[in-house]
Amino acid sequence: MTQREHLRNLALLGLLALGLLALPQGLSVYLTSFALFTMMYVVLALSWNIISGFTGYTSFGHVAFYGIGAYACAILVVDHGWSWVTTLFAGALVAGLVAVAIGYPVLRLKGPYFAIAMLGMAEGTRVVATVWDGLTHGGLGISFPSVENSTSTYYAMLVLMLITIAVAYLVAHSRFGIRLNAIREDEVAAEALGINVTRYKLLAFVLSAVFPAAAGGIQAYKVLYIEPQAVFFVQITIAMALMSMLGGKGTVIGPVIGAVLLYTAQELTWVNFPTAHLIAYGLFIIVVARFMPRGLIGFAIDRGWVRKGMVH
Amino acid sequence: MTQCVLRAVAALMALLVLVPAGRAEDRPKNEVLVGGAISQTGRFAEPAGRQVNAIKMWVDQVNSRGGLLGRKINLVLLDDKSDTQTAVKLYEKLITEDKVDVLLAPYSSAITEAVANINERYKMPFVAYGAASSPIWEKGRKYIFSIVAIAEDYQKGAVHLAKQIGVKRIAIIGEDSLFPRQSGIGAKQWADKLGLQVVLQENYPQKQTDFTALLQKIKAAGAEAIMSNSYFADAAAQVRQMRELNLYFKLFSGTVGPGLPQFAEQLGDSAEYILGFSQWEPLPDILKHPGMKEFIAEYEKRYGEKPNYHAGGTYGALQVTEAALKQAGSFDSQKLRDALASIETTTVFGRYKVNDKGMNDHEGLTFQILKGERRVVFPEQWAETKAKLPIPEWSKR
Repeated sequence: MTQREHLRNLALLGLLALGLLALPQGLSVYLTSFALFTMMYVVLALSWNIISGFTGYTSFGHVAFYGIGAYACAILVVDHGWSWVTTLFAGALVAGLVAVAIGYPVLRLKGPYFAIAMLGMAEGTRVVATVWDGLTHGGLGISFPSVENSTSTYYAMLVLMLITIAVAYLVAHSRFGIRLNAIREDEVAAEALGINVTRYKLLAFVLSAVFPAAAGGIQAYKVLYIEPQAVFFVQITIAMALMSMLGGKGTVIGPVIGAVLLYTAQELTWVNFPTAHLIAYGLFIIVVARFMPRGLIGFAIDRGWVRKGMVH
Repeated sequence: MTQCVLRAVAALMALLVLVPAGRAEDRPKNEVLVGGAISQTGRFAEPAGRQVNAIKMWVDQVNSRGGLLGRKINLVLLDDKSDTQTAVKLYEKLITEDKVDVLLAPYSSAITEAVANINERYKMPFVAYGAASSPIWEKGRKYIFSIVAIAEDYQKGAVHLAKQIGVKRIAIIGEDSLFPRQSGIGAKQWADKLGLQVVLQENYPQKQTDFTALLQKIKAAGAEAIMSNSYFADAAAQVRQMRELNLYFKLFSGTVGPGLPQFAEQLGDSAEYILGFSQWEPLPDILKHPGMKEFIAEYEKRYGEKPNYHAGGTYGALQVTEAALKQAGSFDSQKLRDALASIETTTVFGRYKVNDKGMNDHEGLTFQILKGERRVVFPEQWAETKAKLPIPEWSKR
């Protein structure tokens, strides 16, 4: 991609940022919340995509990092009186460290073994959050003092989303990203070519862990009450994977589109058909999986609507 | 890339147009919008479904007798998917976008805890028929009122009965989540008050099915009775395994499980003599609350089953809301809040009069399963029969 195209993409991101910056002024509190959670899913899907799309290691346990971030925020704010924005960095740091500790052994596993190990890891963190009473208050959950938080959490999520998009974009267009793709396509060959696969996989894993943790922290502060069941909810991982796959995993724009579309579709189906939304949601997934196995982006490329090199 | 970003922006714009932007303006003058979000899908769908039944029935009845303060109810019930995050978002929608006049409560203590912050922020009150966890009312909130007995009192009757039969040492066990832990705390408080010794208090993780080690530990600790703060599957497993291991206790009390019809059906003879707790039972001749007979008959006609306490409590909360609206004389939420805080009334569910924290002092019922039927044994004023305790030994049954 040329310098010019990069600049144009940067300008587009800037435009998006400006638009979203002004959004809460013109919208109701509900639509602001809706936009906030949409951006949260953009962050989650994009992060999942770094390890599972770029690098090819499908994770079924990414909700663990989100939950760790949520708990870091709640514990530090409620029990230790930290300011909530600071806790986001702390949560990201903890999640990053956990990713190193878990990733080092687990990234040696491939395919379904890795997916299942991650599923186990997410369940493990949920159990720890339930059992480690002294730290997490166990099943009682943690309740924040009531505060006005609609705009502050919105802007925090906006900043986080912009950072995540920028990082994903930079990764995709760097040597690092190309190495990750090489690992995805053929790990043995990549290693034979002199790529330090362990290091790059670990780095990708850590990158994919820190943003969900920050997102978890923001959502905890938005909802003001967390419990293990709610923040280590396996469906959140599934949403990350589905959104990436719907948009087109392994690209930067794919997970963004997937998250926006799927979250919007979900919202519209239950607004209009509250009882049938699960069926509608299921049908939607089946249609996408059947007719667009490479996501919307892949579908568009196959039909020549989008030039292949442009979609990173 | 350009196209893709444009498409994403277009999708966002389309959404803003598609989602209806506030219905307050085009609402007919003779209507009142009553709304809430409740778990119609997900893990709470079963109990919350009974509450939805009661809500719909109440709305139809109110509309057929001329509406609320002369205005016809337009009901909006959204689905929070048993998820706190969705619930918070939906209550923001109901208040800021749909601009409901009267707010209805969600189901479960956890979701109510999260939604209560929205009530405070927008100064919209409701009677929380789906929450029994007292910390919700310990934070100085002004717009949330309780109607059901708090979790801490679920074992009140069982501890009293244990005391009556001369039990000295009890064990308190329970699932590790908000509600069972609160009822465990309450059981401990009642035991301390009545001078019973708690020799073991332990929480086990959700979905645990093997209690053999825990039961043996309880026996080894010298407990004579078990207070189990449990749901259905765990309580059933505990009773089955007690029998398999031939461990005898003078009294066993579950919180939620024994109240469900399938408990006695599935456990058969093993369920006999087990104590359980109910917020309310459809027993008009015993409870003698006004309007109970009509409520039970109408509910049974509509839904083909007798109302359980979820339905009874919800209907009671709506009767309280209706009475408070009458007292307030308008849909002004501040006036409604003040009325809910001060009103004293009796519903099909019992008396409603809240203290300065907004908590109603509802008295629940302790029952015992006798010949497969739930029979109220505590408090004495409502007892159908005397409790048959201590439980006979397994070998003598």
